[in-house]
Amino acid sequence: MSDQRGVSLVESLLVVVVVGVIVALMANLPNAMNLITKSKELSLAREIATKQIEDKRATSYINLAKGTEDLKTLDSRVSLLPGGDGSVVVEDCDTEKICTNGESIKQVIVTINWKNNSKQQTATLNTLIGKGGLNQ
Amino acid sequence: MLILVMTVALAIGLSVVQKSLTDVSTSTKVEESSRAFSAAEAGIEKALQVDSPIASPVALGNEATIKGVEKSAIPAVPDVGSRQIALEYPPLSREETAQVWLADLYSSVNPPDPFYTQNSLDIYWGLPNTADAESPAIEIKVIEYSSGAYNTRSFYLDPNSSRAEDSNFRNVSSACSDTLPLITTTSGDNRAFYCKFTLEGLSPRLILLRARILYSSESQPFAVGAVGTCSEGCYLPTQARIFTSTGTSGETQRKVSVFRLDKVVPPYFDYAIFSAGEIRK
Repeated sequence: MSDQRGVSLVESLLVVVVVGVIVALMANLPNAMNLITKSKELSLAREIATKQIEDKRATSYINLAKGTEDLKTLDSRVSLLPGGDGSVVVEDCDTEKICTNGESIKQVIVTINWKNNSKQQTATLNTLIGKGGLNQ
Repeated sequence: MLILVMTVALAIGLSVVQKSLTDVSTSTKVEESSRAFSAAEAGIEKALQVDSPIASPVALGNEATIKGVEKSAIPAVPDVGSRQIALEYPPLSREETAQVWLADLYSSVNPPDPFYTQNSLDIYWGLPNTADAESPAIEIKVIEYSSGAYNTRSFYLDPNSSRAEDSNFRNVSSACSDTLPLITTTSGDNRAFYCKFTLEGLSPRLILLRARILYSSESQPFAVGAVGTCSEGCYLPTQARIFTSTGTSGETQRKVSVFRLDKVVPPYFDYAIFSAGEIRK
């Protein structure tokens, strides 16, 4: 009996399970690669937004003009993001919700949009810059 | 052979999936961290404008919230019979000057009313375990008012013996050690300093102390400790405020602290006070 040749049932099942796992992993591989790309894009978007906030903070309050600027003209790295665009908005602080004491503060909102695998992605960073505040 | 190939493929597949999950998790947390930091800075801006703490959360939008801002005036008035805790400044970088008011900075008269009237003052500075060549010397100017005029008294202190010999600074190596007792300052408990020196023979009409670190290329801590436990004239006036703002985004929290002096002298003051000779226009 002991010198019979062939494959046992346990060995067959093991192979089936391993092959199944590998197939499942391979099927998810493109998705995993896409996630890596997405995280890289997210990191770049965050870098761009942070730099814009720093630039605005380095501007004196009196020269902080209200309005909307195209982010592409401010930072060329936006074009590294697929379909990337965005804006930097400087506006008076919302006196009803945030600056309820009528403070001399402007709100800066940096928004970056791009596409990842045809899905719209957005990263937003906002802060306040006050007269006589940080770096002023 | 087949099993070996399958095992290798499984390992590669698992590592790719794990890397992608880690990357996404990290970048999401970093983004939240940026939003929280911007919110914390926004909290500081708002608190500075109204010069008061913020107790209730303020939503900035886009998942960022100012959780709150605390404000404390330093140094605090000590309890009766206790010594005031030392006033510690944010680390001084090269060419940066620390300023400590010793007179009543809110006084409307000229010269300002006296506040700290002791004839000595403890000075703490330097990071322990700094290389000998980088050991920080300190230049201190105490501005006093006497005989109807403002005068400065200078102290040049160097813990490096050989350097002090060349520069004619006072050798204070005996006052410096890597193992000086830890002290409590306005920045917290168990603060370590490399040197502690007591300025003595000060005038009873003290106005201001200015100090700057020399020879060190890295930022160095600096603190001033009032001497004495009496109820009047034994402690430093309250002269700075610390605002600590907390911003949140998702599960992430970031804190920003700002040290703000209540009254500072003009920037050109240092050119006059640290100048070797008289400054003329």
